[in-house]
Amino acid sequence: MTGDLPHLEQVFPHLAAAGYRPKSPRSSLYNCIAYAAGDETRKWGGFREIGYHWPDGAMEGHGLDALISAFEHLGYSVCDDESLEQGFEKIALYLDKDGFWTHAAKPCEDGQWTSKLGDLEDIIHSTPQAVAGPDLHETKASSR
Amino acid sequence: MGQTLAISDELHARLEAAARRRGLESVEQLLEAWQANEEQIARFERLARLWKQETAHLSNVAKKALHPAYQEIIGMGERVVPMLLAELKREPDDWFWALHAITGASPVPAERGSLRAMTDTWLQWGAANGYRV
Repeated sequence: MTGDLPHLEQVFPHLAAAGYRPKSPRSSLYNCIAYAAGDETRKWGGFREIGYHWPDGAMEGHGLDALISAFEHLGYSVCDDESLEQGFEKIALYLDKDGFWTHAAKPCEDGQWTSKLGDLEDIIHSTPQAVAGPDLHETKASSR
Repeated sequence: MGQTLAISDELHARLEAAARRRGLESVEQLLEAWQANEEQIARFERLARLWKQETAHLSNVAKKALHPAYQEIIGMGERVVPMLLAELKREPDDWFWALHAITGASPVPAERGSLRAMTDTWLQWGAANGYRV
């Protein structure tokens, strides 16, 4: 599975080796958090005051606790790892070394994963680690 | 080295009137102000281009807003608001933090999230506050 998108491979150093393919063209209308939550119409920004979407009642912020809170309000809870389990829908959450949440990825039905990469393309990738950025600190998994 | 440009009396009178409307004392001051503005526009365009190139892969808006080029644009202050609004009109993007940080305004209702709706709201805010875009 080769995607041939060098601009992505440049910023996601594990992508080419892990394998990926494009799913849909660039769009700045939604971001990875929205995409993982099934929303392709809005940007989920962590802060409501500026005008970005964030789930009602969820903690606001740029850190992993805020991101976990957002997905908890969608019915997810933190689990041990991102391995796929029958009866559970999992997502992978990413944190960088500065404590910012950076990304969320969700599995496809065939066991691969899919991500929206910033304002760039949506892609299918083989593993959650494929879209870890150079400054990845930690991943968490949530399931429902 | 300076350049000399011959202009008609009529055009000179119009430039003098434009200078007076801006509280300036001479046509020379008006031309200097225009040149400074052109330099600010070029600086903004360079920073905006750099920010877009280096943050397009990011999803966390707070992280995007902390990019040095974005912070430098915020540091340019109120004079950059018309440029931000024009850029937003040309290509909607995450300029809302910068506009909020500079103006203190929050015209977009919370929970909106739609880039187009947020853009339209800021452009309406700009028109209502005297910014011609």
